[in-house]
Amino acid sequence: MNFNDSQDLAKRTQGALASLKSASLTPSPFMKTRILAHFEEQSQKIKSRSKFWFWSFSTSGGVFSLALIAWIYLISSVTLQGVEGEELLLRYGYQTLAPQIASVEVVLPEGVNFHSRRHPHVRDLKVLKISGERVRKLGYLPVVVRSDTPGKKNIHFIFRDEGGKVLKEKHLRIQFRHKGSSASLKPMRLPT
Amino acid sequence: MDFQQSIQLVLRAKAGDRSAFSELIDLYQTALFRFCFYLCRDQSRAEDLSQNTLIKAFEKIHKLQEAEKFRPWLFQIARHEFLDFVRSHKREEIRPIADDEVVQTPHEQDLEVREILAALDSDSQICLVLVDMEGYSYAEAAEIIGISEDALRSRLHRARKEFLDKYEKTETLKLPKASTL
Repeated sequence: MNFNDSQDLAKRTQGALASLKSASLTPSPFMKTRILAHFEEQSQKIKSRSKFWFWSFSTSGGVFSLALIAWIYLISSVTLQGVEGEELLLRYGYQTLAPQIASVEVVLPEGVNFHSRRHPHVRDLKVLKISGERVRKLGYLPVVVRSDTPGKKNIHFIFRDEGGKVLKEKHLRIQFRHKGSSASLKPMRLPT
Repeated sequence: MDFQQSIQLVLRAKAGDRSAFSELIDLYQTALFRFCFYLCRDQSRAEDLSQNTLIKAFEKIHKLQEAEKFRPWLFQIARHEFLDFVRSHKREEIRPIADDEVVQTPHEQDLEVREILAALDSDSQICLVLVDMEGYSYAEAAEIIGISEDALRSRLHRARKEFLDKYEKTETLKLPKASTL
């Protein structure tokens, strides 16, 4: 490799990675507080270990009940979630059915749009038909959607074979929240 | 704050001065957070990684031999935190998407670039983030990764080539047949 090639490689890489950089990227203002609190807690723990054991035994019943209620709440609230005005990438799996699939149609409800940086025209579509070898090979369908309004939205998937016969239909319900209503979304896997 | 002042802070923190801890957090938390965020691509995970890094650093600061090496030493800890994170999440990430399972991810404009970066091995990602995104010198990046400067240059060259190959070839799901039915 010569110096110029190497410089060119560096420039092109930096150019491509520049899109990821964000000047406004800062940690939560509470991170420092949490770190200092951790050390404070460590020193307090040593001082009050005996008191802690007394209180932990006497309150363990209540704590257990609270934990149980929290667990039940979490289990019952697991659902697909998005945020209004923000793109959400969904990957729906169909491994077993994949060899028979020739095309997939994705039908969106009112207020929900497709999103693609490379194919911006899909934004205006309400129904998207995707076909070809790639649909079979992937074993899952990636779609990026965006809702302009909050609320529950239903996305309809229709899987067809070569002859156009419907092999399977699937409705995915997504709860789009108000923007800024709670913490950012995390990637997650959900059985449907 | 100049370099000498930051060394004084590290020396005070080594002596157990809590206010020096606090000032060191102010000084390094943003750079550390950005480094973690570019690697793990998730705000809350990046916060967890940077928080754990700073906690471990202050717990072990008495072991730091040279106060002037505090920054690379801190990022070495962050690198180990990231590698542990990758190991613990690898099984989950490589598991294929099962029948009727949905994986949901907040989508961002630069998801493709992020995914290409994430597909490289961990040390290549770290090289690119340190040098090409955060502007660290080869010497400092080599020290953080724990390799020689020559090895860093060679690894970085490989990482850049691999990244660009994928970046320039990449195509998202082809949708030319999109049509309103």
